[in-house]
Amino acid sequence: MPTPSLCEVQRLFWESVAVQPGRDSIAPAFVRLVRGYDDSDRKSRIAVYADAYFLRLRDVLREDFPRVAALVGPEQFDEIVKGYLESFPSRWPSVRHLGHALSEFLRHRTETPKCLADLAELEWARIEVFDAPDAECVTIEDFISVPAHAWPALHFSAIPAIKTLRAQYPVHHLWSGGKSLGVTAAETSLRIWRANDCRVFHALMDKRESAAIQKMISGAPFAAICETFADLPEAGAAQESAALLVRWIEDGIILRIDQAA
Amino acid sequence: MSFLPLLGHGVGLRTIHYPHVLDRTARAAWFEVISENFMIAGGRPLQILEKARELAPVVLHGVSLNIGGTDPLREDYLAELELLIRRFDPAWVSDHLCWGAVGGTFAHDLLPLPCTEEAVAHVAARIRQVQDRLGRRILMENISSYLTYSVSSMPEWVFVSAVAEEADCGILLDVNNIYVNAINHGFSPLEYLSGIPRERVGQIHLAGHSSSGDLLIDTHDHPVPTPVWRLYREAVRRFGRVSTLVEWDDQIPPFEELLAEANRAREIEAEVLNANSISL
Repeated sequence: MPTPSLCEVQRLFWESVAVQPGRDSIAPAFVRLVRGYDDSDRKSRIAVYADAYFLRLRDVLREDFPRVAALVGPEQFDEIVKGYLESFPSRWPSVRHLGHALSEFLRHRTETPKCLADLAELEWARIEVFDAPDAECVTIEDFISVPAHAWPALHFSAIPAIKTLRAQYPVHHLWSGGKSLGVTAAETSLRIWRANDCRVFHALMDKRESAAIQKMISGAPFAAICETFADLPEAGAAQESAALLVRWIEDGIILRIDQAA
Repeated sequence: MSFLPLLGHGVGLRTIHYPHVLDRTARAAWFEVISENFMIAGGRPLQILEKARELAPVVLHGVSLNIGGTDPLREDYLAELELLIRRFDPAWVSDHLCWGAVGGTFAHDLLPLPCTEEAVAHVAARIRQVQDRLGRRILMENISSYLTYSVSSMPEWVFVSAVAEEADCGILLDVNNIYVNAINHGFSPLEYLSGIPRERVGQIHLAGHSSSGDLLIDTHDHPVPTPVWRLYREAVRRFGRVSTLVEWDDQIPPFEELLAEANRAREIEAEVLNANSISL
């Protein structure tokens, strides 16, 4: 038998430990490449790596998706991870990106309740904002100097560490301690952000805030954001707009104010 | 190694220690951090590393360079590493003498290389490529392993030394990994030490391990065990004063306990070096 190249050794190694994670799939040609007393010894040495591959990545996903893991239980979570690693093996040097497609994977997996994909999306969004770029947010004091006539044309930008999520299920209930996956579908909008102290939060948004925040993120002026409340009486609309703005400022999600020329 | 500062006895900085960095009680001689944990756009880990850098020198220790892989080196990875180097000015940069990816997919594990002439040439060329890219020499760590290859044509210590010589890089000598491999593969750890060129060793790692059947597993979840301390004494006898770090990655104890392990390493080094100078 010719001596296999480094490339061939690594291909056989990979095939034996990572192609079918959590399943016995050791390539006979690889067994022959490993030193040992007998085939059983060789296979048990290879199995250390096969087990480690699955267990390590399973633990990473369990840490990144603690609520998904808790709600489905350890056995089903292991099955999910096996399928996920086969479909979405890690493509990045840093393992922190591993779970990027778990929500997508769950959405197409027929054996899991639909709400699980939404919950995974929420848990992943929380990770993404945790690692998002730093930025300084505005404070109430920054607004004091803005003259009244300039307000309609004010442009806000959202901090980079914010995401919005539109789910088919009330995932915030599942996240905050729901014990069962048997929840009734209900359209749900959330914003997820990292506060100044680096803690990550999410909050339910009603339809108005959901529309308003999309306008803010897309850079619309304050007047356009206020139009979200146009169906309310004028005094109520002003009050609601102001309250929303204060909430955003207190949550630290507004990056800066640009006064339009 | 002459191009590296002598930092003394440090500890691996992990998330659980962050409160000690924030209240400035993390009084270690130096910190080693996992490079990939800080390859992020922003947030708390980077802020913590800034603060750790104010307390003590920092060293970047990577796990995903995939230096022994046959995929091309990832330029995006090297660019991120370069950014970290610029921002945190580490005392040095290290990674592992292993492979970990095939066809663009990563195992996130340190997989053993066959000890062959082909692998020496392949890895050394890639280390030189990385050193040219980063504009600095790096250190390569010997890994623990649970299998060896029938195609290997030289002992592991000859392989490690040959790579370091051909690449002109430093060696991060993990004493625990030598002990683990000596048990798992049946060689003399002292022979290993005596085969490593003195002038290439820039750092030493110490850690604990676990037993699993006939094999020792490099789990980093225990105190440094007695046989590893013994081997460390031998390493100090051979290599003299070398920056040394205690790694603890699972079931991590309070910071004080970790620091106590680093202090023990410092005491052992002093004992051995004093005894050596007396015997001279």
